[in-house]
Amino acid sequence: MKTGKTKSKRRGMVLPFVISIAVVLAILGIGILQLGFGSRLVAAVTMSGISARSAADGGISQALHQMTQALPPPGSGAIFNDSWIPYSSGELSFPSSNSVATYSYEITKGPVYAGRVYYLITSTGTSGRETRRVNALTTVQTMWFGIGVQDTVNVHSSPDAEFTFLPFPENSDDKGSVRTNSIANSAIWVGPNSTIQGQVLVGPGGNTETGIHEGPNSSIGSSGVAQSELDFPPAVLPPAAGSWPTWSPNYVQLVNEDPVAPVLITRALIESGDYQLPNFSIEKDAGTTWTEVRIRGGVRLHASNEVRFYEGTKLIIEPGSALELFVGTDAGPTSPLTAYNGSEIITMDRESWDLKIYGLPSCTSTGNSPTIALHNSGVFWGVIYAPSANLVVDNTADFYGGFIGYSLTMMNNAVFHYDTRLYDLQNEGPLFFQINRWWEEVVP
Amino acid sequence: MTIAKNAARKGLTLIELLVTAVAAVVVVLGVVSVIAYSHQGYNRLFKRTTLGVVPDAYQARLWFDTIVRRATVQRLDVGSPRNNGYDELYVYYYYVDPLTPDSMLAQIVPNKYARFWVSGDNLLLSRGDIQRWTIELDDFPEFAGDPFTIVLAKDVDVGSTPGIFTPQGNAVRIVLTLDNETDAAAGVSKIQTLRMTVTSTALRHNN
Repeated sequence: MKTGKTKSKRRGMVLPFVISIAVVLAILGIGILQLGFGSRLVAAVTMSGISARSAADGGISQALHQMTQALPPPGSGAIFNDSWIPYSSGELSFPSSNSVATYSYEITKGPVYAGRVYYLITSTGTSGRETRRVNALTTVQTMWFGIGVQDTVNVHSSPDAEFTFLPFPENSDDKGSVRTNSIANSAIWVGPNSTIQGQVLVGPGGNTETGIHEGPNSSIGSSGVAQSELDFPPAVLPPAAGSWPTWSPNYVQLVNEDPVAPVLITRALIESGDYQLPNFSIEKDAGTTWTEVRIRGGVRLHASNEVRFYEGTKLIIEPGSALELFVGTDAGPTSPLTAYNGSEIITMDRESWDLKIYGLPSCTSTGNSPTIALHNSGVFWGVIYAPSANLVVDNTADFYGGFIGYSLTMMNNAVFHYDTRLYDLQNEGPLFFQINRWWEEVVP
Repeated sequence: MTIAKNAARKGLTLIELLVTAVAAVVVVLGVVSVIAYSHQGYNRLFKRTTLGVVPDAYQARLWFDTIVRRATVQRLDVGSPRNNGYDELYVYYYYVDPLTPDSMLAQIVPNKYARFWVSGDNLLLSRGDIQRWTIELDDFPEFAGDPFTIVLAKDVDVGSTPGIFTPQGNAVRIVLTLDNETDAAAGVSKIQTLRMTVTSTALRHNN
């Protein structure tokens, strides 16, 4: 018996129709997806490549920071050698919302070239499937390259200012550098009629056209932008400086042999050893105190409050001798170290490294007073490392050596003679690492 | 009765057919137009990402980054100033083969140069040897032989845009605008043209 519901014999068209449309749309969708996938793949590879490269750069920076941290602090008296290098490796991941990149680096001893030891940093950055490898050859350099400041070098006391930055000896191939970390406008102000024979560098990212002001009739050897910022680690006292004995002056009175103008000299002598005292002064009144101090042998002296070389006095480093003078300011005077008019601070060997002055962190000044002042017609042979100090070299004074500090002001006709022989002091004093060669690789 | 019911459903009415036909036409037209527009979009995307300015910009940035990053900080020269930028850039670098730490150190001064420059609306890259190196500002290195030149990008917009290169300390910025759309030749389909700007900054690393 047949029921009332029978199967329809008509063939449906809807299903084939829908399937056809679905197939067409699917093909279309797959094509668009493929194109989108390809574009996203290119974008992802590009982004990964950039992330990997940035990570590798970061590894170099981290390794350099680690190496710099391991350098002996200025003033400590430690001599740098290979054992200070942290031959190590490290790695770091820094995920972000868009990518995950990692770097790993390794510090190894590199080749020795022209008498210098180089250190090879190899840093590998990875992001996704992309890997970049960056190599940097670095070597330790002395900071005694001329003038290095954190802030400004100003030579603009008057329209007649005549500052000259010359190498010493004058025929040296190395002309030295005047360098600042600052990228401010006119961070290095070269006044009228001034000459800088060496290189003038503004801070990384700076612009030589705005960062260096050249006055009328001035000239500089070359200008550029520093590769990296200089570190100015604080100077420290050598270990056990707190137990150094107080200096007890032992002085004699002499008359110089000038028949025309005999002068009474009261000479004090500091012989080999370590000493401390609050105030280190050389007075101008020969009748009551000493007017000349001589250093004989290796001497280290900590003046915790102030240093004064009054008018016409002399500090003389005898041949074969050296003085390391540590200057701090317990009481915060306006000028912790002052050499007044006509005073002479000289090394008889004419070697500026025989006198090293370290400005401790408290060696700063208040107001507009200079921290370290070499007044009119003075002569100074030595090197100064004082990261918080501004140095003022007054009219017609002559400075032989090198200076690392916060800022420098040179007045009329003052001359800064950069002692080019300082550059050979590779293992002592304030040091930093410089990248000499750099190259990168795409790791397949 | 069942037979009677089937007999009553033997055909469709004219109205039903017409409605069905109209509906089918609408659907087919819709699908066809979707397919057509999608195909056009696909073509546009494909051509823009694989032909013309996009790959040119990508390649130009890649070359720029690769060469400038290895350049020395000792000097850099620019020329062809335009709107606070420059259309010509010279950078100098070390090249040794094979590349080893010893050989890199043995090469004491940069011995290769790269010149990015604009000719017409093409951005070119010329590379060659340095015969005499100098860092003196009033002097210029001497080059040896003929450089090897390639076209990095076509359709460079050298109109109102700033100059392509801007030195900033040890870094150099590139802002490259490529445009094959604004003055496209007659008959060139819009789907093949584009105006785009690519930017990058590379830091010179070598001493």
